[in-house]
Amino acid sequence: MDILKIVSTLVLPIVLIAAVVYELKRTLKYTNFDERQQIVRGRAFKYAYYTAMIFAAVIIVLEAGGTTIMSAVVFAGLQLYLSFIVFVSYCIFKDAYFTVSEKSVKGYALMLAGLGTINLVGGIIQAGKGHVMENGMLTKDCLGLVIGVSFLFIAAEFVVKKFLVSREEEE
Amino acid sequence: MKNLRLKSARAAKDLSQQQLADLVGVSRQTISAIEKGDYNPTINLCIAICRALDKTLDDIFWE
Repeated sequence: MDILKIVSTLVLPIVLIAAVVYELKRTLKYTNFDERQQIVRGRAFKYAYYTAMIFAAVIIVLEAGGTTIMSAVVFAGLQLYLSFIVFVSYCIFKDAYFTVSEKSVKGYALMLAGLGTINLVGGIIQAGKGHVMENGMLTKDCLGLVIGVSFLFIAAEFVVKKFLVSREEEE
Repeated sequence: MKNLRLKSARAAKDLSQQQLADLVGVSRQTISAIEKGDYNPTINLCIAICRALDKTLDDIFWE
């Protein structure tokens, strides 16, 4: 049994279940966004929606021109993750991702970094085997790379934001 | 436009942005945004801030 199979059959499901439980507990426990945060989150949803629409439009135009670069599954996955990145990034930089009651973001950033690393490693292994692109089309194996990069990007964003906040002197 | 009156009223009460935020139930960044003039609060939040600082709306938010 190679390392990729061990990760995908044993470690990954446990990590994913832990992530889902953590997120559910967080969602149920913390619901109190203040009025500024609600406005920011509304704007973030709008930008995420525009991202999804623009991405769909580009793919449709390419498809109409006779260029198919991905399957429907890959399209849905990429659209979802692009929108997700836009929403989360905007909320983090405008201080509207965490509710008023949540003070520590360390655990969340670590979880994202862990999930991102696991997916990125899996994605790189798949890319190394040449499974990411077949017959000029992206396969679903590219989603591991996308998830890995997006989660690590968001984790890095938390670190950058924390650095900026620590530099910001309370006036 | 910066809200210097809010900042000075908070300082007069010896409250940090976080302490005032906790008193009125918003994030510290929201108080910071109001003081910097980056966010216009709703009347409900204005009233909550005024109550926390023992000031009137005129004292803090009226030009």
